[in-house]
Amino acid sequence: MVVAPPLRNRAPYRGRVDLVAAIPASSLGLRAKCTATAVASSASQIPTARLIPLRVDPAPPPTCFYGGVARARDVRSEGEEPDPRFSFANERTFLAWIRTSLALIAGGLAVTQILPPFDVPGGRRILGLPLLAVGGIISLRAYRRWEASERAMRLQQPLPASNMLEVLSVVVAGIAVLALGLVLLGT
Amino acid sequence: MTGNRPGANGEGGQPGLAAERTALAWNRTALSFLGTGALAGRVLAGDALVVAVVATVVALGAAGLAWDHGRRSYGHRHGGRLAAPPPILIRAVALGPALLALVIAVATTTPRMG
Repeated sequence: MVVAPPLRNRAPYRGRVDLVAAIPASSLGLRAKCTATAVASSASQIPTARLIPLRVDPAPPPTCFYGGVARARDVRSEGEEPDPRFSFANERTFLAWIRTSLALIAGGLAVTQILPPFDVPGGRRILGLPLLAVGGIISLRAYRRWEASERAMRLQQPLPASNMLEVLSVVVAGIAVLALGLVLLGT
Repeated sequence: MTGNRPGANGEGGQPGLAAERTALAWNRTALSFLGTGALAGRVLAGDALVVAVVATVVALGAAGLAWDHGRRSYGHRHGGRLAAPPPILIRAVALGPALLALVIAVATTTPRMG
């Protein structure tokens, strides 16, 4: 059960609620739901989520709704247009992540379909499926990252932190170790 | 650039060559989709034709979206329209690799393909 008194107590704030979790509408209330921004990536973070007051907007866009996940429909309707160079940089970063995910997927495809079989049974799948999975996950997370960064820029907030680089580094290193192990086992 | 906060800009927000770099990034991404789609189609066609067709169509569709957006956005942005791309386009381009990975994984784990 999500505890939401902090949200209720912040009713005077006006803005948007961005809670990436299922929250009972009754625990928030319409006014609180549409009047604050809370950033949380899981239900466990919600009770301690920091509420960031936004500037008063006389006509806030319809970015919240009852029940389930409350979220803006179009990030471009929030805040103010940032410096276009930052938007371009954010867009290029997103595209670079997409290309990275495509490279991982192509690698996974090559490993599972083109490499000759390892001596270890199922070796190609052991090596290739993680590459495919990570490639798919990275592409989806790239979108979340682009959206969060775009929103932060439009609301004049600090850019959100991301652990995608660390995760990618660890996964690639792990797959390299796995490949080495498979090769050594085969010899 | 003034300050380290995104959006804190005191120079009028002139994009300079950023629009061109971004258009080229869209083109590179389209080429990456094309290459991955061609590879998937070529490799999978022998054993799982339907999967190969799906993978190729997904990749070509994403490539087309990326290429078209890069072409149009460059012109629009040089004409003064500098808004961020529509989120639905970003979503579609992000879904492309995820769908590709899914269909390739399905083809790989199917006993016939293993």
